[in-house]
Amino acid sequence: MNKKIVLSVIDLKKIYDLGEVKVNALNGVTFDILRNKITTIIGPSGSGKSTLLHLLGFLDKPTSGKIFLDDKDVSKLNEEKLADLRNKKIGFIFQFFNLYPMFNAVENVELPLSISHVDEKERRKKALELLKLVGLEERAYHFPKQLSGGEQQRVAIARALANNPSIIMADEPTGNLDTQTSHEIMELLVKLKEHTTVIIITHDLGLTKHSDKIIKIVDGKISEMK
Amino acid sequence: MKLKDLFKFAVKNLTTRGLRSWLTVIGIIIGVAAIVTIVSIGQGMQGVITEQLGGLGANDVYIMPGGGMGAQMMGGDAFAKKSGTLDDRDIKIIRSVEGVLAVAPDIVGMQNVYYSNEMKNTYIWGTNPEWLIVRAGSMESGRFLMNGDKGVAVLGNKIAKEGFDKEIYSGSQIRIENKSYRVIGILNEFGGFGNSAEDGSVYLTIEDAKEYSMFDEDNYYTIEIDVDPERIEETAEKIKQQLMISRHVDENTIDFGIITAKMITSTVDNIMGTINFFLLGIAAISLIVGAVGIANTMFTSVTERTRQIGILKAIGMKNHDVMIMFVIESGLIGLIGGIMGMLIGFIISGIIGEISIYALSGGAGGVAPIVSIPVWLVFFSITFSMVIGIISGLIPAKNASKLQPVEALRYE
Repeated sequence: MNKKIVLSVIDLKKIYDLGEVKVNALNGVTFDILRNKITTIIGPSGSGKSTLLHLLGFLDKPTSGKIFLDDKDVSKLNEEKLADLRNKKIGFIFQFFNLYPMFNAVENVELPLSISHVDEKERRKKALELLKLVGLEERAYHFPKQLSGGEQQRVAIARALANNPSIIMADEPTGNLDTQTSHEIMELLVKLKEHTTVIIITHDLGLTKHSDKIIKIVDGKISEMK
Repeated sequence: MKLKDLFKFAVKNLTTRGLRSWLTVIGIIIGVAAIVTIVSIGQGMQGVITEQLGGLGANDVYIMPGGGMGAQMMGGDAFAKKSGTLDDRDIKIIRSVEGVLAVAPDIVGMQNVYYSNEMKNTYIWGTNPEWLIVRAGSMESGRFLMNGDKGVAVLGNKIAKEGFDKEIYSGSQIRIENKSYRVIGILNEFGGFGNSAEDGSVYLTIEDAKEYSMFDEDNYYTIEIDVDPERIEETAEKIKQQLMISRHVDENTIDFGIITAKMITSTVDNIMGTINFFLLGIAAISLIVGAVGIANTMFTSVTERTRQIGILKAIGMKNHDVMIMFVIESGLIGLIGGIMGMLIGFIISGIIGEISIYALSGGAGGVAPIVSIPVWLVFFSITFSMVIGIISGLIPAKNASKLQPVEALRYE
């Protein structure tokens, strides 16, 4: 067992059956994700990187191949167990922030905690700490629509960190932000390396300069890894 | 997720869609309010009618001539196959039956009654002293008719007090057509619907009333019998058998009708039951429409919130928690609609009750409330509407829980 490896992917395939045609979205990829490092997966649109994100984030199941999380095979788990993994082991950051619009910032950060049955006082305390970490403690009681894009993404990052996940999965995290804000968000993600492992999925080559490892996907296969 | 958190979640979801949630709630309010109003009025009506019939005397048995008007009105005619008349021979037979306590035959007519230059057209009844026992009546002043009385009258409470500009007292003289009568007693009020027949009538001896009778001189309109309360139906059956023998008729040629208070009550119960059933059916339809409204709102809500459901699933919310959240939402719509519908139903039936009391008594009061709100209705309407809410929300909730997180997140 290698303690440095948090996630291992072996010959992962995903075939979408669209009735008449079968689409090989992912055609056998194998790689490791190292703990406390930033790995960037890049590729043009249609390359299969979104499919990969869904599989690594346990939002979808592979057609074949194996995924090991902390040395445990998680590729055959049922929906309920996968939901548990998403809640406790993965923190998602999306391009469009995806905050829950009816909840204010602190309530959004509390969401993963209330899903995992953390009691009210404790989760409020944790959520406020996390908002402080992302520099948003003063905006804790604002609703998503009252926050700027950068602020919303910070809330999303705080929410992703709520359950001390093994991996932060960031899907085009700066895709909807201006250059200055993108820069700040990237700095924040780099800072997260101390706490957890970060996987960034993007088509923006600019984001790779902070990366420890870059995996390039083309046509469902790894074309380059460095 | 803890149920408490799911509950808070659901409340938040409902309140942020305020107007839509309220419109859906209104659908349930209308249904529940309609049911509550109809049931309370139905119950109240039944109570009032039963009370009215109670005034006739629960121990009473009525004999009516076949083909007679009274029999037709009271439903007794159904028992008589041929027309016939009732006279003193029948009275004698009835008195001889064991269990008979009092027998009062009556005749009836309508005449002009004069008092101090005023005229009033009203019922004139001819009966005997036992009528007061049969009807369980009592005197407010003076006395009732006695055997051997002649040229005297007893007045119902309303005609004495309100029938004429000047109140009539015991000892006053009244005139019927061109004959003068001395008032010897005023009855206590029987109460009931407005100017009930008893309270607005004049009572004479049979001999005196004969000339005013609507029917043949020697024939009675009805024979009212007070029987042993322990064996009403049994005594009624005996009376029937004895009368059939003396009149030489059998079940196919029977020429009189016999009914008991119980038979009238059960007829009324049947009629009221049918009316209530029908009205409840209409109210139930409006509640079903309300339920469809909930289902519709929840389906729309699932579609609109597809992306949100995706977010929740991405951060680990389980399918059954998503389902419970939606069911709580629809259940709450039902529950709130139920509580508010119940309150509004009570207010409406209260108003109808007040109006009906005023209308029936002509503002004089003394009428039992026509609306009655049973305790079971409170619990039933709340529970029922909540269950309807939950059931209407089940399929939309199931749909929401089955959404694939990847699909849901892609949804714009």
